[in-house]
Amino acid sequence: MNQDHLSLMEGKRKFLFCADSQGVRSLYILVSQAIDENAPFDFHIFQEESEESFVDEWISHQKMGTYLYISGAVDFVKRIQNKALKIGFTEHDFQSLPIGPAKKKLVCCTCHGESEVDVEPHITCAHCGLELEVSDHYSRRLDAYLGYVTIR
Amino acid sequence: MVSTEKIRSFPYPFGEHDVYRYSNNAIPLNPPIAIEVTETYIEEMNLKRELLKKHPERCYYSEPHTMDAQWEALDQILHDLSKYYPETFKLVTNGDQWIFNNLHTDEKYSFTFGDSTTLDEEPLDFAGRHVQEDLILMMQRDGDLFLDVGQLCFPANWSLYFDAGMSFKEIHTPIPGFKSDSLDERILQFLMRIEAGSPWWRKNWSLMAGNILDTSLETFAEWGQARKKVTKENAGEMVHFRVEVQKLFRLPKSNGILFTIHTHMLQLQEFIQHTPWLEQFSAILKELPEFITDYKGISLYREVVLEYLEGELKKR
Repeated sequence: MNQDHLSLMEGKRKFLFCADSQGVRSLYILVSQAIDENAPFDFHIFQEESEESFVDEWISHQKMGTYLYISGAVDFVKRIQNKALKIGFTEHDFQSLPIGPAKKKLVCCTCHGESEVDVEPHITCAHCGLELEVSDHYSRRLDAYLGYVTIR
Repeated sequence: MVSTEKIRSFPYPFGEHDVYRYSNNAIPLNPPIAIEVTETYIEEMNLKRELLKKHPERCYYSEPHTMDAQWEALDQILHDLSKYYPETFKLVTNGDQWIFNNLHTDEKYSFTFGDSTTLDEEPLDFAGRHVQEDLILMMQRDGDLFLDVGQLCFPANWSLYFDAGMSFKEIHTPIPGFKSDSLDERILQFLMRIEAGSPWWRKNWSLMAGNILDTSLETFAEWGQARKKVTKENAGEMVHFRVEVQKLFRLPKSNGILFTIHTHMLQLQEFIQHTPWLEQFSAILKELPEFITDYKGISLYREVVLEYLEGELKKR
Protein backbone atom coordinates (compact mmCIF):
# COMPACT_ATOMS: atom_id res chain seq x y z
CA MET A 1 0.00 0.00 0.00
CA ASN A 2 1.04 3.64 0.28
CA GLN A 3 4.53 4.09 1.70
CA ASP A 4 6.83 7.00 2.43
CA HIS A 5 9.66 5.21 0.64
CA LEU A 6 9.95 2.22 -1.70
CA SER A 7 12.18 -0.82 -1.28
CA LEU A 8 13.11 -3.57 -3.71
CA MET A 9 11.50 -6.88 -2.75
CA GLU A 10 13.52 -10.07 -2.77
CA GLY A 11 12.63 -13.27 -4.54
CA LYS A 12 10.22 -11.83 -7.11
CA ARG A 13 9.90 -13.20 -10.61
CA LYS A 14 9.64 -9.80 -12.28
CA PHE A 15 9.16 -6.12 -11.45
CA LEU A 16 6.75 -3.66 -13.03
CA PHE A 17 7.58 0.02 -12.64
CA CYS A 18 4.69 2.34 -13.32
CA ALA A 19 4.95 6.13 -13.01
CA ASP A 20 3.55 9.39 -14.24
CA SER A 21 5.89 12.27 -15.08
CA GLN A 22 6.04 13.32 -11.40
CA GLY A 23 6.83 9.86 -10.12
CA VAL A 24 9.57 8.79 -12.50
CA ARG A 25 12.51 10.00 -10.45
CA SER A 26 11.61 8.09 -7.33
CA LEU A 27 11.75 4.81 -9.26
CA TYR A 28 15.24 5.22 -10.79
CA ILE A 29 17.08 3.88 -7.76
CA LEU A 30 14.91 0.75 -7.71
CA VAL A 31 15.43 0.21 -11.44
CA SER A 32 19.20 0.38 -11.02
CA GLN A 33 18.95 -2.13 -8.14
CA ALA A 34 16.89 -4.43 -10.36
CA ILE A 35 19.52 -4.13 -13.12
CA ASP A 36 22.29 -4.96 -10.63
CA GLU A 37 20.39 -8.09 -9.61
CA ASN A 38 19.64 -9.09 -13.20
CA ALA A 39 15.95 -9.10 -12.37
CA PRO A 40 13.52 -8.86 -15.29
CA PHE A 41 11.40 -5.70 -15.30
CA ASP A 42 9.11 -3.46 -17.37
CA PHE A 43 9.07 0.31 -16.99
CA HIS A 44 6.20 2.46 -18.22
CA ILE A 45 5.72 6.18 -17.88
CA PHE A 46 2.24 7.62 -18.45
CA GLN A 47 2.15 11.30 -19.39
CA GLU A 48 -1.60 11.54 -19.92
CA GLU A 49 -4.56 9.87 -18.27
CA SER A 50 -5.75 8.74 -21.70
CA GLU A 51 -2.67 6.54 -22.04
CA GLU A 52 -3.62 4.56 -18.95
CA SER A 53 -6.05 2.34 -20.84
CA PHE A 54 -2.95 0.32 -21.70
CA VAL A 55 -2.34 -0.50 -18.01
CA ASP A 56 -5.06 -3.16 -17.82
CA GLU A 57 -3.63 -5.09 -20.72
CA TRP A 58 -0.08 -4.73 -19.46
CA ILE A 59 -0.78 -5.87 -15.87
CA SER A 60 -3.24 -8.64 -16.69
CA HIS A 61 -0.66 -10.40 -18.88
CA GLN A 62 1.77 -10.79 -16.00
CA LYS A 63 2.41 -14.09 -14.26
CA MET A 64 2.22 -14.93 -10.54
CA GLY A 65 5.16 -13.55 -8.58
CA THR A 66 5.22 -10.24 -10.44
CA TYR A 67 5.69 -7.22 -8.18
CA LEU A 68 4.42 -3.74 -9.00
CA TYR A 69 5.74 -0.29 -8.05
CA ILE A 70 3.54 2.76 -8.58
CA SER A 71 4.78 6.31 -8.19
CA GLY A 72 3.12 9.59 -9.09
CA ALA A 73 0.39 12.07 -8.23
CA VAL A 74 -2.12 10.94 -5.62
CA ASP A 75 -4.95 10.42 -8.11
CA PHE A 76 -2.70 8.58 -10.56
CA VAL A 77 -1.52 6.19 -7.83
CA LYS A 78 -5.08 5.54 -6.72
CA ARG A 79 -6.25 4.80 -10.28
CA ILE A 80 -3.42 2.34 -10.99
CA GLN A 81 -3.87 0.65 -7.59
CA ASN A 82 -7.55 0.11 -8.28
CA LYS A 83 -6.80 -1.38 -11.70
CA ALA A 84 -4.22 -3.74 -10.19
CA LEU A 85 -6.56 -4.83 -7.40
CA LYS A 86 -9.34 -5.46 -9.90
CA ILE A 87 -7.04 -7.64 -11.99
CA GLY A 88 -6.20 -9.75 -8.94
CA PHE A 89 -3.11 -8.21 -7.36
CA THR A 90 -3.31 -8.17 -3.56
CA GLU A 91 -1.92 -5.52 -1.24
CA HIS A 92 1.15 -7.70 -0.79
CA ASP A 93 1.97 -7.52 -4.51
CA PHE A 94 2.70 -3.82 -4.85
CA GLN A 95 4.11 -0.68 -3.22
CA SER A 96 2.96 2.85 -3.95
CA LEU A 97 4.53 6.22 -3.44
CA PRO A 98 2.04 9.09 -3.81
CA ILE A 99 3.70 12.44 -4.49
CA GLY A 100 2.29 15.78 -3.43
CA PRO A 101 -0.51 16.71 -1.06
CA ALA A 102 -2.87 13.87 -0.27
CA LYS A 103 -6.43 14.85 0.40
CA LYS A 104 -8.35 12.40 2.58
CA LYS A 105 -12.01 11.61 2.31
CA LEU A 106 -13.88 11.99 5.59
CA VAL A 107 -17.24 10.35 6.29
CA CYS A 108 -19.53 12.11 8.75
CA CYS A 109 -20.60 9.66 11.47
CA THR A 110 -24.02 11.27 11.66
CA CYS A 111 -25.18 11.79 8.06
CA HIS A 112 -22.56 9.69 6.18
CA GLY A 113 -21.87 12.73 3.98
CA GLU A 114 -18.35 12.93 2.57
CA SER A 115 -15.89 15.84 2.82
CA GLU A 116 -12.27 16.34 1.78
CA VAL A 117 -9.65 17.07 4.43
CA ASP A 118 -5.96 17.97 4.38
CA VAL A 119 -4.28 18.09 7.77
CA GLU A 120 -6.84 19.94 9.90
CA PRO A 121 -7.96 18.03 13.02
CA HIS A 122 -11.55 19.33 12.87
CA ILE A 123 -13.95 20.26 10.10
CA THR A 124 -17.58 21.24 9.84
CA CYS A 125 -19.61 18.72 7.89
CA ALA A 126 -20.80 20.41 4.69
CA HIS A 127 -23.91 18.24 4.67
CA CYS A 128 -25.31 18.44 8.22
CA GLY A 129 -23.29 21.26 9.78
CA LEU A 130 -21.99 19.28 12.76
CA GLU A 131 -18.40 19.73 13.85
CA LEU A 132 -16.35 16.60 13.18
CA GLU A 133 -13.11 15.35 14.64
CA VAL A 134 -10.90 13.69 12.01
CA SER A 135 -9.92 10.21 13.18
CA ASP A 136 -7.50 7.59 11.89
CA HIS A 137 -10.27 4.98 11.66
CA TYR A 138 -10.12 4.04 7.98
CA SER A 139 -12.54 2.10 5.80
CA ARG A 140 -11.11 0.45 2.74
CA ARG A 141 -14.61 -0.12 1.38
CA LEU A 142 -15.41 3.60 1.46
CA ASP A 143 -11.77 4.68 0.99
CA ALA A 144 -12.42 7.20 3.75
CA TYR A 145 -11.69 8.12 7.34
CA LEU A 146 -14.36 8.46 10.01
CA GLY A 147 -15.34 11.88 11.34
CA TYR A 148 -16.59 11.76 14.93
CA VAL A 149 -19.01 14.22 16.50
CA THR A 150 -17.75 15.69 19.74
CA ILE A 151 -20.15 16.79 22.47
CA ARG A 152 -19.23 20.14 23.93
CA MET B 1 -39.34 -0.90 40.44
CA VAL B 2 -38.18 -3.73 38.22
CA SER B 3 -38.74 -7.30 39.31
CA THR B 4 -36.20 -8.99 41.55
CA GLU B 5 -36.23 -11.54 38.75
CA LYS B 6 -34.76 -9.01 36.33
CA ILE B 7 -31.97 -8.11 38.74
CA ARG B 8 -31.28 -11.79 39.50
CA SER B 9 -31.08 -12.67 35.81
CA PHE B 10 -28.93 -9.67 34.87
CA PRO B 11 -25.67 -10.90 33.35
CA TYR B 12 -23.23 -9.46 35.88
CA PRO B 13 -20.02 -8.95 33.91
CA PHE B 14 -17.27 -9.16 36.53
CA GLY B 15 -15.36 -12.13 37.91
CA GLU B 16 -13.50 -12.30 41.18
CA HIS B 17 -11.05 -9.47 40.46
CA ASP B 18 -11.70 -5.92 41.61
CA VAL B 19 -9.68 -4.62 38.66
CA TYR B 20 -10.95 -4.50 35.08
CA ARG B 21 -8.78 -4.59 31.94
CA TYR B 22 -9.36 -5.66 28.35
CA SER B 23 -8.74 -9.37 27.94
CA ASN B 24 -9.92 -12.41 26.06
CA ASN B 25 -12.55 -13.38 28.61
CA ALA B 26 -14.41 -15.90 26.45
CA ILE B 27 -15.52 -19.17 28.02
CA PRO B 28 -17.20 -22.27 26.54
CA LEU B 29 -20.96 -21.86 26.06
CA ASN B 30 -23.13 -24.53 27.67
CA PRO B 31 -25.85 -25.21 26.63
CA PRO B 32 -24.95 -24.04 23.10
CA ILE B 33 -27.83 -21.59 22.50
CA ALA B 34 -27.19 -18.66 20.17
CA ILE B 35 -30.10 -16.56 21.44
CA GLU B 36 -32.13 -15.76 24.55
CA VAL B 37 -35.74 -14.60 24.79
CA THR B 38 -36.45 -12.31 27.74
CA GLU B 39 -39.47 -10.44 29.12
CA THR B 40 -38.73 -7.39 26.93
CA TYR B 41 -39.01 -9.45 23.72
CA ILE B 42 -42.02 -7.75 22.10
CA GLU B 43 -40.89 -4.24 22.94
CA GLU B 44 -37.45 -4.90 21.46
CA MET B 45 -38.83 -6.59 18.33
CA ASN B 46 -41.00 -3.54 17.65
CA LEU B 47 -38.07 -1.20 18.14
CA LYS B 48 -35.79 -3.31 15.96
CA ARG B 49 -38.24 -3.56 13.10
CA GLU B 50 -38.95 0.15 13.22
CA LEU B 51 -35.23 0.96 13.07
CA LEU B 52 -34.71 -1.45 10.16
CA LYS B 53 -37.55 0.22 8.28
CA LYS B 54 -36.43 3.80 8.95
CA HIS B 55 -32.64 3.36 8.82
CA PRO B 56 -31.76 0.33 6.70
CA GLU B 57 -28.41 1.85 5.71
CA ARG B 58 -27.16 1.87 9.29
CA CYS B 59 -28.89 -1.32 10.55
CA TYR B 60 -28.11 -3.84 7.82
CA TYR B 61 -25.22 -4.60 5.49
CA SER B 62 -24.34 -7.65 3.45
CA GLU B 63 -21.86 -8.70 0.82
CA PRO B 64 -23.31 -10.75 -2.03
CA HIS B 65 -21.06 -13.78 -1.42
CA THR B 66 -22.54 -14.44 2.02
CA MET B 67 -25.89 -16.03 1.15
CA ASP B 68 -24.92 -19.60 2.10
CA ALA B 69 -23.53 -18.45 5.44
CA GLN B 70 -26.68 -16.42 6.05
CA TRP B 71 -28.88 -19.48 5.50
CA GLU B 72 -26.67 -21.43 7.87
CA ALA B 73 -27.11 -18.74 10.52
CA LEU B 74 -30.88 -18.69 9.98
CA ASP B 75 -30.91 -22.48 10.38
CA GLN B 76 -29.11 -22.23 13.73
CA ILE B 77 -31.29 -19.39 15.05
CA LEU B 78 -34.71 -20.75 14.08
CA HIS B 79 -33.82 -24.21 15.40
CA ASP B 80 -32.65 -22.68 18.69
CA LEU B 81 -35.89 -20.69 19.03
CA SER B 82 -38.13 -23.72 18.43
CA LYS B 83 -36.02 -26.08 20.53
CA TYR B 84 -35.54 -23.91 23.63
CA TYR B 85 -38.79 -21.91 23.45
CA PRO B 86 -41.21 -24.52 22.05
CA GLU B 87 -44.27 -22.80 23.53
CA THR B 88 -43.84 -19.67 21.44
CA PHE B 89 -41.81 -20.67 18.36
CA LYS B 90 -42.64 -23.56 16.04
CA LEU B 91 -40.50 -24.81 13.20
CA VAL B 92 -41.58 -27.53 10.81
CA THR B 93 -39.02 -28.65 8.23
CA ASN B 94 -40.03 -30.96 5.45
CA GLY B 95 -36.92 -31.25 3.32
CA ASP B 96 -36.35 -27.73 2.02
CA GLN B 97 -39.92 -26.66 2.74
CA TRP B 98 -39.85 -24.81 6.06
CA ILE B 99 -42.71 -23.35 8.08
CA PHE B 100 -41.76 -21.00 10.92
CA ASN B 101 -44.33 -19.78 13.39
CA ASN B 102 -43.69 -16.94 15.84
CA LEU B 103 -46.53 -17.00 18.39
CA HIS B 104 -45.27 -13.86 20.17
CA THR B 105 -45.94 -11.78 17.09
CA ASP B 106 -48.59 -14.11 15.63
CA GLU B 107 -46.71 -14.51 12.35
CA LYS B 108 -46.36 -17.54 10.14
CA TYR B 109 -43.84 -17.90 7.30
CA SER B 110 -43.46 -20.60 4.67
CA PHE B 111 -40.31 -20.59 2.60
CA THR B 112 -37.91 -22.82 0.72
CA PHE B 113 -34.65 -23.20 2.62
CA GLY B 114 -31.76 -21.94 0.48
CA ASP B 115 -34.00 -20.05 -1.94
CA SER B 116 -33.74 -16.34 -1.18
CA THR B 117 -36.62 -15.47 -3.48
CA THR B 118 -39.03 -17.12 -1.00
CA LEU B 119 -38.27 -14.63 1.81
CA ASP B 120 -38.97 -10.90 1.83
CA GLU B 121 -35.58 -10.16 3.41
CA GLU B 122 -32.15 -11.71 3.20
CA PRO B 123 -31.89 -14.74 5.54
CA LEU B 124 -29.86 -13.04 8.29
CA ASP B 125 -32.08 -9.97 8.14
CA PHE B 126 -35.14 -12.22 8.46
CA ALA B 127 -33.73 -14.18 11.42
CA GLY B 128 -32.76 -10.96 13.18
CA ARG B 129 -36.35 -9.73 13.08
CA HIS B 130 -37.33 -12.58 15.44
CA VAL B 131 -34.58 -12.34 18.05
CA GLN B 132 -33.43 -9.61 20.44
CA GLU B 133 -29.80 -10.14 19.46
CA ASP B 134 -27.83 -8.14 16.95
CA LEU B 135 -26.37 -10.59 14.45
CA ILE B 136 -22.94 -10.33 12.84
CA LEU B 137 -21.31 -12.79 10.46
CA MET B 138 -17.53 -12.75 10.21
CA MET B 139 -16.20 -14.61 7.17
CA GLN B 140 -12.75 -16.20 7.31
CA ARG B 141 -10.25 -15.87 4.46
CA ASP B 142 -6.56 -15.04 3.93
CA GLY B 143 -5.87 -15.80 7.60
CA ASP B 144 -8.25 -13.11 8.78
CA LEU B 145 -11.88 -12.45 9.70
CA PHE B 146 -14.05 -9.93 7.90
CA LEU B 147 -17.35 -8.36 8.84
CA ASP B 148 -19.24 -9.27 5.68
CA VAL B 149 -22.83 -9.30 6.97
CA GLY B 150 -24.55 -7.73 9.90
CA GLN B 151 -27.89 -6.68 11.30
CA LEU B 152 -27.18 -4.14 13.99
CA CYS B 153 -29.93 -2.19 15.74
CA PHE B 154 -28.45 -1.78 19.23
CA PRO B 155 -24.78 -0.88 18.73
CA ALA B 156 -22.71 0.42 21.63
CA ASN B 157 -21.65 3.58 19.81
CA TRP B 158 -20.22 2.19 16.57
CA SER B 159 -21.24 2.31 12.93
CA LEU B 160 -22.00 -0.79 10.90
CA TYR B 161 -22.16 1.38 7.78
CA PHE B 162 -18.57 2.51 8.32
CA ASP B 163 -17.11 -0.75 9.66
CA ALA B 164 -18.77 -3.07 7.11
CA GLY B 165 -16.23 -5.16 5.20
CA MET B 166 -13.41 -4.48 7.67
CA SER B 167 -11.07 -7.06 9.15
CA PHE B 168 -11.19 -7.84 12.88
CA LYS B 169 -8.21 -5.62 13.69
CA GLU B 170 -9.43 -2.74 11.51
CA ILE B 171 -12.76 -2.74 13.35
CA HIS B 172 -11.00 -2.50 16.70
CA THR B 173 -8.44 0.23 15.84
CA PRO B 174 -10.41 2.96 17.65
CA ILE B 175 -10.09 1.16 21.01
CA PRO B 176 -7.13 2.64 22.93
CA GLY B 177 -4.90 -0.02 24.46
CA PHE B 178 -6.48 -2.85 22.49
CA LYS B 179 -3.25 -3.41 20.57
CA SER B 180 -0.95 -3.51 23.60
CA ASP B 181 0.68 -6.89 24.26
CA SER B 182 -0.78 -7.86 20.83
CA LEU B 183 -4.15 -8.45 22.46
CA ASP B 184 -5.94 -7.86 19.14
CA GLU B 185 -3.74 -10.44 17.40
CA ARG B 186 -4.24 -12.98 20.18
CA ILE B 187 -8.01 -12.59 20.16
CA LEU B 188 -8.05 -12.86 16.35
CA GLN B 189 -6.05 -16.11 16.55
CA PHE B 190 -8.45 -17.42 19.20
CA LEU B 191 -11.49 -16.59 17.06
CA MET B 192 -10.01 -18.26 13.99
CA ARG B 193 -9.52 -21.47 15.97
CA ILE B 194 -13.13 -21.70 17.16
CA GLU B 195 -14.52 -25.05 16.06
CA ALA B 196 -17.99 -26.05 14.96
CA GLY B 197 -19.91 -27.59 17.85
CA SER B 198 -17.87 -25.74 20.50
CA PRO B 199 -19.30 -22.24 20.81
CA TRP B 200 -17.93 -19.61 23.20
CA TRP B 201 -19.35 -16.59 24.96
CA ARG B 202 -18.24 -13.50 26.81
CA LYS B 203 -19.68 -10.39 28.44
CA ASN B 204 -18.78 -6.81 27.67
CA TRP B 205 -19.96 -3.89 29.79
CA SER B 206 -20.25 -0.14 29.92
CA LEU B 207 -22.30 2.55 31.61
CA MET B 208 -24.72 4.74 29.78
CA ALA B 209 -26.29 8.07 30.62
CA GLY B 210 -29.90 7.33 29.70
CA ASN B 211 -31.55 4.06 28.80
CA ILE B 212 -31.85 3.78 25.04
CA LEU B 213 -30.82 0.56 23.35
CA ASP B 214 -30.14 2.02 19.90
CA THR B 215 -27.00 3.98 20.74
CA SER B 216 -25.69 4.15 17.20
CA LEU B 217 -22.74 6.34 16.32
CA GLU B 218 -25.05 8.03 13.81
CA THR B 219 -27.24 9.40 16.62
CA PHE B 220 -24.48 10.10 19.15
CA ALA B 221 -25.02 13.86 18.79
CA GLU B 222 -28.50 13.33 20.35
CA TRP B 223 -28.06 10.67 23.02
CA GLY B 224 -24.48 11.61 23.97
CA GLN B 225 -25.65 14.93 25.42
CA ALA B 226 -27.12 13.16 28.45
CA ARG B 227 -23.59 12.46 29.70
CA LYS B 228 -23.34 16.11 30.73
CA LYS B 229 -26.55 15.99 32.76
CA VAL B 230 -25.60 13.30 35.26
CA THR B 231 -25.29 14.50 38.86
CA LYS B 232 -24.66 12.77 42.18
CA GLU B 233 -28.39 13.18 42.89
CA ASN B 234 -29.79 11.72 39.65
CA ALA B 235 -27.07 9.14 38.89
CA GLY B 236 -28.96 6.19 40.35
CA GLU B 237 -31.95 6.90 38.16
CA MET B 238 -30.31 8.22 35.02
CA VAL B 239 -27.26 6.01 34.62
CA HIS B 240 -27.75 2.48 33.35
CA PHE B 241 -25.49 -0.49 33.45
CA ARG B 242 -25.21 -1.94 29.96
CA VAL B 243 -24.00 -5.49 29.35
CA GLU B 244 -23.59 -7.24 26.03
CA VAL B 245 -23.78 -11.02 26.11
CA GLN B 246 -21.77 -12.02 23.05
CA LYS B 247 -21.82 -15.55 21.63
CA LEU B 248 -19.57 -17.03 18.99
CA PHE B 249 -20.49 -20.00 16.81
CA ARG B 250 -18.45 -21.51 13.99
CA LEU B 251 -20.70 -22.34 11.03
CA PRO B 252 -19.45 -25.72 9.75
CA LYS B 253 -20.33 -25.37 6.06
CA SER B 254 -19.43 -21.79 5.22
CA ASN B 255 -16.69 -21.64 7.89
CA GLY B 256 -18.01 -18.25 8.95
CA ILE B 257 -18.44 -17.16 12.57
CA LEU B 258 -21.88 -16.18 13.81
CA PHE B 259 -21.54 -13.51 16.45
CA THR B 260 -24.71 -12.72 18.40
CA ILE B 261 -24.96 -9.74 20.73
CA HIS B 262 -27.73 -9.49 23.32
CA THR B 263 -27.79 -6.14 25.08
CA HIS B 264 -29.12 -6.04 28.66
CA MET B 265 -29.73 -2.82 30.58
CA LEU B 266 -30.31 -2.21 34.25
CA GLN B 267 -30.78 1.07 36.06
CA LEU B 268 -27.85 1.77 38.37
CA GLN B 269 -30.11 2.05 41.45
CA GLU B 270 -31.50 -1.43 40.70
CA PHE B 271 -28.05 -2.81 39.96
CA ILE B 272 -26.66 -1.75 43.33
CA GLN B 273 -29.50 -3.31 45.34
CA HIS B 274 -27.31 -6.38 45.35
CA THR B 275 -24.64 -5.28 47.84
CA PRO B 276 -21.75 -7.45 46.54
CA TRP B 277 -22.24 -5.85 43.10
CA LEU B 278 -22.23 -2.37 44.61
CA GLU B 279 -19.01 -3.09 46.51
CA GLN B 280 -17.14 -4.65 43.63
CA PHE B 281 -18.26 -2.20 40.98
CA SER B 282 -17.29 0.78 43.18
CA ALA B 283 -13.80 -0.66 43.52
CA ILE B 284 -13.53 -1.34 39.78
CA LEU B 285 -14.77 2.09 38.71
CA LYS B 286 -12.46 3.84 41.16
CA GLU B 287 -9.42 2.03 39.78
CA LEU B 288 -10.40 2.14 36.08
CA PRO B 289 -7.71 3.83 33.95
CA GLU B 290 -8.60 6.85 31.87
CA PHE B 291 -8.03 5.17 28.50
CA ILE B 292 -10.84 2.74 29.33
CA THR B 293 -13.27 5.29 30.80
CA ASP B 294 -12.69 7.52 27.76
CA TYR B 295 -13.46 4.78 25.30
CA LYS B 296 -16.48 3.53 27.25
CA GLY B 297 -17.77 7.10 27.38
CA ILE B 298 -17.87 7.26 31.18
CA SER B 299 -15.24 9.96 31.79
CA LEU B 300 -17.66 12.91 31.88
CA TYR B 301 -19.66 11.49 34.76
CA ARG B 302 -17.39 8.98 36.46
CA GLU B 303 -16.77 11.24 39.49
CA VAL B 304 -20.45 11.86 40.23
CA VAL B 305 -21.24 8.15 39.85
CA LEU B 306 -18.44 7.36 42.31
CA GLU B 307 -19.86 9.89 44.77
CA TYR B 308 -23.29 8.31 44.42
CA LEU B 309 -21.86 4.81 44.97
CA GLU B 310 -19.90 6.02 48.04
CA GLY B 311 -23.11 7.43 49.49
CA GLU B 312 -24.93 4.14 48.91
CA LEU B 313 -22.09 2.13 50.45
CA LYS B 314 -22.37 4.24 53.63
CA LYS B 315 -26.05 3.31 53.92
CA ARG B 316 -25.36 -0.45 54.00
